[in-house]
Amino acid sequence: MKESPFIHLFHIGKRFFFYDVNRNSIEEIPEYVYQYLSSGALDCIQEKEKAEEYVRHLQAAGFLKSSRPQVSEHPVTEYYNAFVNNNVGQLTLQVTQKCNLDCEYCVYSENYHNRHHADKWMTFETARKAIDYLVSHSADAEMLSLGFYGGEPLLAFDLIKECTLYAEKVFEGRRFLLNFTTNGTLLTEDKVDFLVEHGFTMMISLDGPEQVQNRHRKFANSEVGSFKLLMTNIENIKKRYPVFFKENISFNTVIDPQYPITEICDFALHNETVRDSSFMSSIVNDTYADKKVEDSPEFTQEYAYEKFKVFLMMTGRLDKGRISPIMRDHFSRIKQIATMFERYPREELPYKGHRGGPCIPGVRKLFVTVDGKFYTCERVSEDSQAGYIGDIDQGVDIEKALSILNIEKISSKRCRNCWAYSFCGLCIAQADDGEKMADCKLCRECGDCRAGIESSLMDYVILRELGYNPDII
Amino acid sequence: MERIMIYPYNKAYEPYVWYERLLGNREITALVTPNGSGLVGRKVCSGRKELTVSNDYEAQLEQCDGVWFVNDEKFELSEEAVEEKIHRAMDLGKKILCTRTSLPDSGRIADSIPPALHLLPRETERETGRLEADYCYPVDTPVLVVYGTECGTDKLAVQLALREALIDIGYRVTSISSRMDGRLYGMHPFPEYMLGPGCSEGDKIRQYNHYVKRIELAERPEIMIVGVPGGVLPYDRVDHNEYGILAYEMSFAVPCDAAVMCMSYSDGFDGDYSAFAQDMERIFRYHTVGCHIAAAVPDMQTVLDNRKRHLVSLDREFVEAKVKQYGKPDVFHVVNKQGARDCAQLIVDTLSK
Repeated sequence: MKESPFIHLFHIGKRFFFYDVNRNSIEEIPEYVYQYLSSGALDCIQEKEKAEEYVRHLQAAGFLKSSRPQVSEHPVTEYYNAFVNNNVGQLTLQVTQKCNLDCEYCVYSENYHNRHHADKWMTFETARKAIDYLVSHSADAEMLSLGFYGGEPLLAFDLIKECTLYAEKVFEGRRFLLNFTTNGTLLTEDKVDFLVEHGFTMMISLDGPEQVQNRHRKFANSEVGSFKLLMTNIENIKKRYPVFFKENISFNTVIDPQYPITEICDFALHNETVRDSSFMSSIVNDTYADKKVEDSPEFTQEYAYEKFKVFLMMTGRLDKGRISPIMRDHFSRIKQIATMFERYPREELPYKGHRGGPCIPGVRKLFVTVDGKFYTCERVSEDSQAGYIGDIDQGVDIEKALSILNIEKISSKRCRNCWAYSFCGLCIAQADDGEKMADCKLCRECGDCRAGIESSLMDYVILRELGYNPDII
Repeated sequence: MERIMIYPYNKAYEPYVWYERLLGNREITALVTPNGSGLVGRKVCSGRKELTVSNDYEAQLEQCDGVWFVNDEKFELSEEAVEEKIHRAMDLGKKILCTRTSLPDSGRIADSIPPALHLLPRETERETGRLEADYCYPVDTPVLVVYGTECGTDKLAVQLALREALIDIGYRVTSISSRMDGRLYGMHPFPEYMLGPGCSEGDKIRQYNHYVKRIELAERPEIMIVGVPGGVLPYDRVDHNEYGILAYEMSFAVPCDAAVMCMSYSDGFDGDYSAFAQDMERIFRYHTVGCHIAAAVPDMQTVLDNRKRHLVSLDREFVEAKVKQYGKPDVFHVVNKQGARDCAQLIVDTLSK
């Protein structure tokens, strides 16, 4: 039986489009062609003939092919060894599992089951081996990045210091970055002096104004919020090291969609200390959460308005200074889509291939736990075997890594027929059922994932028409 | 034999180790690299011996007669630190061979080296001679052009391999390298004025032609191998390969009789490079007779990140097996003896027609 064209039809108001999976491009079509492609039938015979003629033209131009990949295999599979031996560029050390805060949506909290706070600490010996591993497997990497992760990494500051001095010695001759994510409550002057001296980049978790920050980010075993102490520390850094503050510090905001967003946006836009800083923001991650996070009606409404303002900015219609820093880079997926369209042109999907989604495990964001185990990244569960890919003594378990890289194999029939094949973002974290990669777990995410991609495609189409240029904005 | 150490050793110098036999009365005995290179402990085979990459400059210095200070792209070494190493080598009476172009004041270093020690002249200074005529001379010797679809596709290795193979067949071969540091290997360097703003684009074409003509007249070769630096055509807006301007200028300066394309390995490639070869014929009049598949593959994630392509090294055995699998008589992995011989024979057959 002849397969149908591998396309996805969508419309924005009264305008009609199809995304051609083989060509990886979006084309606008008249409504009658849209109707014809979606149902194959039109009431009016003349319109049907017109639609058939239109379709023939599209086919002659190389669109509407029905080809699907026939074999699921990630292209890197056949030379994965080369990547893991030569191209490791990023390594994150979990220096401790302990934290001085107890944030509700933290992946370590009791509401999540991918890891738990514990009084566990990495030894220097483990860290040293991990750093050596990074260097010896990085010959082709453009630069090295060593990250410190927790718990709260600053609780293990002595270890961070030791690692820094060691890394600077063994990274000799390479461009490298030292970085960590922190809740910022332990940024005392002596620590900051060291971080400045060694050129760290820092991402500080800051959710918004006092009532928002303190809603979730409270000190452990207490109801006291972290806002006051955090802001004092931040202000001190800005006062003592203004250039470092501007260039090396950014903020991470986790947005809880159960609450309004405007107050968060306004805080970042107007607060004197942080208003000129870069923010990364994300909605609460519920991948390993016990329960799904539902959006409140206020949030939905306010979020849509903020998004509208960002789109005005992206098309040059509103000054960047009027957009909350929290939202400026929030729609980076649209930029990714623009990049995908521009830099991955193709005539047809390959016979053998793999959907989007997985990073190259052990290469892209290698995560080392306190006891020296390798995980694909800091987002996967340490309580599950699914994301475990080796350790500092044995190196990467190639077989395990390849099975994660080729995650499509657990759902290949569905994936090969899914129009979101190229844009899919689902990886091991979404497929982890607590023990292994499981399709039954993964398939629950497919609907949301496709809906998100469709929404981004629509946004992209409109923005492109209105002059959006991902390189400039 | 003079024992030479390469510092700071990096992958761009691997071909010089493989073809060490072309070094004449010198041999490479040590490869020293910065701690962070990721190469420490790796083995590099010269054909005569296996060298282990070291990070111990002092220890290796004692064992050698001279140090070849080379360029590097990936490292971020302070030039002062390199200069310190040069002086350390001089203090121990070692010969200094310097093709490193980024030293802050190489003139000062040159002045400070006693005449008894040998400083390799800055490769390019010799080649900035004035223009004799405002037109190009005909080049009568058959010219083999070696070009790459991007940087990192083994162009230097292919030039060295083909030169050796053609000499083995019995030809008198002259090479004008795609790089500026090939003189030690008997190659003429790529002239620096081609890369700078010092002369007009027209003058560059004429000057390069005169450079090649002078070499032709002086050496009377039977085949000339000309290497084209960098990549020859833009991939896209971001990976522009300098728009192929250099290749375009060189194609006017030196007409090509046959060309070998160097490309990275890529998924889905089946050995048919004709589409690219046709573009090359049309744009540069490069008649491509063979294709070398380099042991390198692009990391496509970097493309998605909206950055430039970067290549990751592959095992040579992997690429050799792929080339075998393609089963095409004009697709090679030239960096093995058989591949070089087969490619050289194909070139000779083409040029003989």
